[in-house]
Amino acid sequence: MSVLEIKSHIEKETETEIRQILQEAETEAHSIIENAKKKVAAILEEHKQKRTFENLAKERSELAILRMTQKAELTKVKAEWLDRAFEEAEKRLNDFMKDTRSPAHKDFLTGLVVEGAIKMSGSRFVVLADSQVSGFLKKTLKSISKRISEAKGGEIELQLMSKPNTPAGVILQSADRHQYYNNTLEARLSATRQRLGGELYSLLFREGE
Amino acid sequence: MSIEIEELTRLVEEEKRAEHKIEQARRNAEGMIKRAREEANEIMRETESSLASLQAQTHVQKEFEEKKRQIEQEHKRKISSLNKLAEKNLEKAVKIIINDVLGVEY
Repeated sequence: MSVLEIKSHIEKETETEIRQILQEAETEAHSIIENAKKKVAAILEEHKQKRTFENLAKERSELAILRMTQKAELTKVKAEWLDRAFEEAEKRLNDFMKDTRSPAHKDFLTGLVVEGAIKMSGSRFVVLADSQVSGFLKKTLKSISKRISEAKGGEIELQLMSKPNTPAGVILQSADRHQYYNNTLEARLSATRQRLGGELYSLLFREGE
Repeated sequence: MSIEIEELTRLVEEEKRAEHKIEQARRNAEGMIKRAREEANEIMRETESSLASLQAQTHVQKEFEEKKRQIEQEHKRKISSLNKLAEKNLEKAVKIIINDVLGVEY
């Protein structure tokens, strides 16, 4: 091989090696940037998914709180109407109890004593009432005793006791004080509420009647 | 110097120039890779800073706000409807209570 040929060979080999070095470097540089872009795309996608999930969870939680609050408000509105119905009924019943001359009022008082005595066991009872009710019952004590005796199927003994500040209505006690029956207006309203509360609830919010 | 030695010397110099060129190409290649790494780092930094600013933004979800508004309106309508029904049925309920309280059993 001549010197010129060797020189040419060296130049050729050098060019080839330089081209290879630069090509490899270009490939690596391109790969570095492409990898960075892929990483960015993955980070953005992950971030997007995370935000979507967080927003969804936040929305669901807000809606759940809103619905619970609304449910509580509905329950409150319904309970207030039931209270209002009982308040109105109590007001009218108190007016009724003040009308001492009406036959219905007298019948009711008699009925309170008879009902209480029938529901209790035994034959000797004490009726506690305020002075006004006691005054009325005193006049009709014999007939009331007779009605109770007939209903219970045996003689009974009824004693009246005037007790100021007794709520409207009567309280019955057995003579041995072991039993008592609260037949005041207050107790009867409370029993009605317990017994009919659900029915009244439905009635108040029923449509089309 | 004989001709052979002169030629050999030129060849050695040629070899040195070649090595120099290759060395220069390697430096260029390293520079190219270094710039690519810097560019990649810059891309990552920009992404991180844009994510931070995204998180600070208040995300207004119009669709959700609209849904909430509709639920609230529906609730108001329901309350109003319940009040109307109760107003209408109150008297019946009061009468039932009074009848039950006055209805003594004997």
